[in-house]
Amino acid sequence: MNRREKIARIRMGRWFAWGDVIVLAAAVLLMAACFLIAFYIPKEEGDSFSVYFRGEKIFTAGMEEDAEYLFYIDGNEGIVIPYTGAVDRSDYNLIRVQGGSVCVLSADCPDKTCIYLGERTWGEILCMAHEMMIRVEGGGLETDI
Amino acid sequence: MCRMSRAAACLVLAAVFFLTACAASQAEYYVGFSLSSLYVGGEAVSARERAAASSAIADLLHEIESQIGADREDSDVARINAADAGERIAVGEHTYAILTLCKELFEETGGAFSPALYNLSELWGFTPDFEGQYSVPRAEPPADQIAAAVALSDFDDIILHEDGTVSKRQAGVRIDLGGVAKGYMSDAAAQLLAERFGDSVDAILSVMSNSVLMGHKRGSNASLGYTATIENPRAVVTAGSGASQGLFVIGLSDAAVSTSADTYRSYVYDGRIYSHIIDPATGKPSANGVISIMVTVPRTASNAGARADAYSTAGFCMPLTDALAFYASLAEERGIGAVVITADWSYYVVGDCTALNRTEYAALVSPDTVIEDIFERAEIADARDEVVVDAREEEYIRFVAERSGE
Repeated sequence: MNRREKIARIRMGRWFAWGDVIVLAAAVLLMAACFLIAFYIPKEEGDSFSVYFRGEKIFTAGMEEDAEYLFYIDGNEGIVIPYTGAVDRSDYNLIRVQGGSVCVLSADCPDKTCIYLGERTWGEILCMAHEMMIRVEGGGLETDI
Repeated sequence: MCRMSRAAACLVLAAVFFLTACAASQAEYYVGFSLSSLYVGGEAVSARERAAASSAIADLLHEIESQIGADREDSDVARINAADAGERIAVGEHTYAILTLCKELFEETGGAFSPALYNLSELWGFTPDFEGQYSVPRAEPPADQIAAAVALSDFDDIILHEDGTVSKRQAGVRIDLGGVAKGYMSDAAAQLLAERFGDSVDAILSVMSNSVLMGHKRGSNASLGYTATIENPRAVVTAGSGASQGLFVIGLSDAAVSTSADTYRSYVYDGRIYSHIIDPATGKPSANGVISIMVTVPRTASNAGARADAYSTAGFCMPLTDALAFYASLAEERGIGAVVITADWSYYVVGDCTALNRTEYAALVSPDTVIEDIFERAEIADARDEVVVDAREEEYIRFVAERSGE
């Protein structure tokens, strides 16, 4: 192989071979599947939720009744109170329970990821900025009705 | 290129698979209706057959609803409510059957269960026109308005004629079959399953808070019989996982189960809970210290579901000791069971009913569970009509008041 042929060969190899494309596509597909399974395949619905601040559970309530709660940070403490219609705190997340699901209605965190996660009947809603997590909890002891 | 398109096809197929999997699990049926277990002759019924049965039940429930919905302009109930005194209204078979049953239940409960309270419900703001505003704190209506509504709330003013028509003695009397409709619907659904699959059906049917447990429990923990959770009406002030579970009833078979509580359609005003259950005797929301009642009626009784529905409401409209005595007499006559939870956070168990507290049930099914009791069992002999409100009950009332902005 002369120098020219070598250069041509190396130039060919700059792009993916078809085999690489298939491997990559498979990897992307697998990632998509994992993502879907983790976030979109419904698990058993919970009937209560807890609010965690810095990993510590600070509040629990049932989800069978519609209600609104205000989470806010007071110094080094995370606090949840029933929502009275006024958001007069900073570092807050307004949590709404409606029709058996929970969501964050509004928040003053910069990214608003918690709001985009929408209404949940299972799983978790995370607010990284406020180190706050809402976890929907399973139905306690199992019965038939 | 061919491989590329194959990969793309795979991606599309995977997406389609996920999408259809989601769509299939969201088949819509009648609101609040579920058929959560179905066995025939001890064998689980195929998903397809179960879906077909569910859709037949949904059609049946729609048909019943179209006859009895008070908020539907053309329903039998709406036409009865709009009728003049003495005008004969031809009604459908379901309306007539429910009204006939209501007459019996009205007698049996000494008037504590009455479907002729629409005027009072409207006065207190609990009819469907007020949807979305049930929990708004509001002062009691003036006494003369209550008296006027009571005068137009006598179920004896509704007359059933043998030709299938209904008339009223007073034009102003209006009815609402909501207190028995869901129980009746659960009975109708159970009957449909029995007709479709024969006598050897084991199934769990629910229409909102009314369930019919057909036959015997199948599958895991079958030896416990069917098990039921009595919802904790004070879950919002109860901490911990499983807060919504108040008590458990085990060993159920072939029975209808219905629960009534003061949490659904209610509001707090001036430190008191006003629930949608109106006492026909006073014309006011029930105030006998009861916060929740579950009743189980064996399916050997006719219309077991409708009975359970009406009985669980009636106990709110008599003094506590009378309610317990009423359930005891029904237990003797019809083999019913009842669990009554009161505002002092006690509960009473009447008749043929194995009610377990949270720790007792946990010890039975899941010994590792960390759980505490919420309500304390009390003896029927110790029951008093004056229920002393528990401190936790006061906390609950405050919580609801704050939440509704009172």
